[in-house]
Amino acid sequence: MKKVMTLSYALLALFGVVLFFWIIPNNTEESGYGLSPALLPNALAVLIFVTSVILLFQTILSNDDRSSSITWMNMLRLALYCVIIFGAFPLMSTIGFIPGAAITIVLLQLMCGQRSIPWLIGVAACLSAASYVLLVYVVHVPLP
Amino acid sequence: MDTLISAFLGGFSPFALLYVAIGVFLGIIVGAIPGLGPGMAIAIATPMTFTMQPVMAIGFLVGIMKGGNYGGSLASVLLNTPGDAAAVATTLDGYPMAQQGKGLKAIKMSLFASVFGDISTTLLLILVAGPVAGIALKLGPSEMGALVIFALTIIAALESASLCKGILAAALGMLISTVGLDPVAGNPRLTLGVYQLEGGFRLIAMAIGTLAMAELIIQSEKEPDAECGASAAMVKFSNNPKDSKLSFREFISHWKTLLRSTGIGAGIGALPGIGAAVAGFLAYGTAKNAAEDPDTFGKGNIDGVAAPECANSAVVSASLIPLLTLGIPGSVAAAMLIGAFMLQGVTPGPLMYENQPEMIYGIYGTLIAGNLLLLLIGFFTMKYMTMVLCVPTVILMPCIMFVCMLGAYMETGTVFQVVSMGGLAIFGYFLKKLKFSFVCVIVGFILGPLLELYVQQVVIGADGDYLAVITRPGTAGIVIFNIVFLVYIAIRNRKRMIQKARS
Repeated sequence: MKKVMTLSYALLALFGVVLFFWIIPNNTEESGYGLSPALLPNALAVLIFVTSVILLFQTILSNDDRSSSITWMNMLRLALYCVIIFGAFPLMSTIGFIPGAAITIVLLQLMCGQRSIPWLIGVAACLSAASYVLLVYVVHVPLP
Repeated sequence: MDTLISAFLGGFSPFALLYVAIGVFLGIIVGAIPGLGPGMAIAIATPMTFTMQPVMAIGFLVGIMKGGNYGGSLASVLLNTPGDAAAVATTLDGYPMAQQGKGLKAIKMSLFASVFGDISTTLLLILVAGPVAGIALKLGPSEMGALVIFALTIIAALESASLCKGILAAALGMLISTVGLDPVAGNPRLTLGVYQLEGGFRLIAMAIGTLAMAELIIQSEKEPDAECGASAAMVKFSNNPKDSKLSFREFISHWKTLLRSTGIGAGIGALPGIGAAVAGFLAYGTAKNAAEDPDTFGKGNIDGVAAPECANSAVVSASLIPLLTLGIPGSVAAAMLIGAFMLQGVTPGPLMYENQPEMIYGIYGTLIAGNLLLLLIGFFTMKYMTMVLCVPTVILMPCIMFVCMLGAYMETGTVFQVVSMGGLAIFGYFLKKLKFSFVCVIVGFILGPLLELYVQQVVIGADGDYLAVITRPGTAGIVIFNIVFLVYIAIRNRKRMIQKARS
C-alpha cells in the first residue's frame, strides 16, 4: 500500500505542476476585466501540489505495511468495464437500442460473475425491454 | 399566508403522495441492500425526476432518502451487515436481538425510532430554516465566501482521516467544477479543446460516476454470491408473538433515549460533513452511558437499536437546514438534492425563501408526508422487504450498473454524459481504492463555483480595499473561527500521530 500511495501522491504533485505551468496557461483566456478565470484553477493547482507533497513525505516516513488493494487483475477488470461503459451507447446507436442494451447487460452480468445462461438471457431481455419503455413512454428521452 | 398553506397541503395531494410513496418504497429496497446507500439511490434516481414538477421531484427524492435510511437497518439487524455506514451502529444490538428471535421487534423499533427522529427534525427544520434564511439573506458575498470555505474545511477535516487528504480531495472536486465556460467572459476554460466540455461536468454524471458506478465496480471484485448466500446467513424471525410485538407503551417508554438521540442527530445533521454514521455511534454511546444496565448493550438491548436509528434519521431533515438556508449541502444525500434542484432550474439557498416560498412550503409538506408514508409502508411491508436481502448480487449489480448508465444518459439525452460518467467512475474508483473521501470531492465540486462567484463579487465590490472586506465583523468572525478550528484539528492529528508512533 505504501508503494501505491507514494506513487499516487507523487503523480498528483506532478499533476499540480503540469496544471500550473502548462494546462492552465494554455486553456484559459484572460477577459481583461473582473476576476482572472485562471485564479481559482491556479490556486487549486498550488493546493494540490502542496498537499500532495506533504502527504508524500508523510507516506514515505510512515511504516504502512498493509497490502495494496490495487492489483493487475483489478486493473484488467476496470479496463473491461471501461470498454463496456464507453462502448455501450455507440453499440446501441449502431444495432438498435434493445439488442445493444441486451448485449451490454449480458456483458455486465458476466463481469459480475453470472454464469447461468437462463439468467443471463432473462435479465438482459427484461431489463432492456423495461429500459426501452422507461425512455420512450415515461421520460420521453430520444433513444441513442 | 393562504398560498403558503395551500402549497404545504400540496405536499399531500394524491400525485405528490404517490411520488413520495414510490420514493420511500424504492429507498427501503435500495437501502436494504448492503453496500448501496440512499446517496447512491438518489444519484441514480435524480435524472428520472426532470419530467416531474419541482415539489414532486424533491418529494420523490426525499422519500428515497428517508426510506433508504430506514432500509439500511434491515440488513444490519438480520444479516449483521449494515446497508450503509449510517446503519453500522444498529448492528451492535440489532443483530444480537435477531439471534434471540426478536428480529421483527428490532426492525419495528428501528422503524418507529427512525420516524420519530425524522419527524422531530422536520418540525425543527420548519421552525428554524425561515429565520436562518432571513439572517443568511443579510450576509454579503464576503461572509458567504468565508462560510463556504468554513464548510469545506469542516468537511475536509471530519470526513477524511487526514486533513491534508481531505483538502486535496476537495481541491480535486473544485478543479473538476472549473472545467467549462469561465463565469466572467464565458470563454472556454480547461476544456482541452473538447467542445462538449464547454458545458462543464454535470453533477449527476459526477455523482453517478464517483458514488455509484465506482462503488459497484469495486464490489464486483468480491466473490459472487450466485446461490443466494445472504439468504442462508439471514436470521429467521421467532414464531413466538411476544418476541415480535412492540406496543406503543413500550416504544414510548424509551422517550429519554429517543429525545436525546434526536438532539444529537439534529446537531450533527445541521453541521456539514459529519454525517449520519457519527450521529448513530454518538447516540449509541450516549444511550449506553446513560443506561442503568450498560452491560446489556451489545447483547440485544432495544435501546441500542432505538438510539442509532433515531439519530441517523434525525440527520436526514437536519442536513436540509444548511442546504435550504445557505445552499451548502451537509451530506452526500443533500448534495444529490442540489442536483435535483438544479435540474428543476432552482438554486437552493436563502433566496428560495424570498422568491419561491410556495416551493419551500411544498417541500415541507412532502417531508411530513414522507415520514407518514415511511411509517405506513415500512410497517406493512416489513416482512416482505427482508426478501430483498435474498436477491443475489450477480443479478442485482449488473442491473444497477445499467440503470446508472441510463441515468447518466437520461439527464441530457447525449452519449457524452455517459462517457463523462465513465471517466468520473474511473476517477472515483481510484479515489475509493486510495481511501480519499468522495464526499469531499462532491462537496468541493458543488461549492467550487459558489466560492468563485463570491470571490468575484468581493473583488468587484472591494474596489481594491480588501482589508475592509476581511475586517467586516461577520467575515472576520468566520475566518477567525476557521483558523481556530484548523489549529485544533492540526493539534489533534499531531497528538494522534505521536500516540500511534508510541504504540
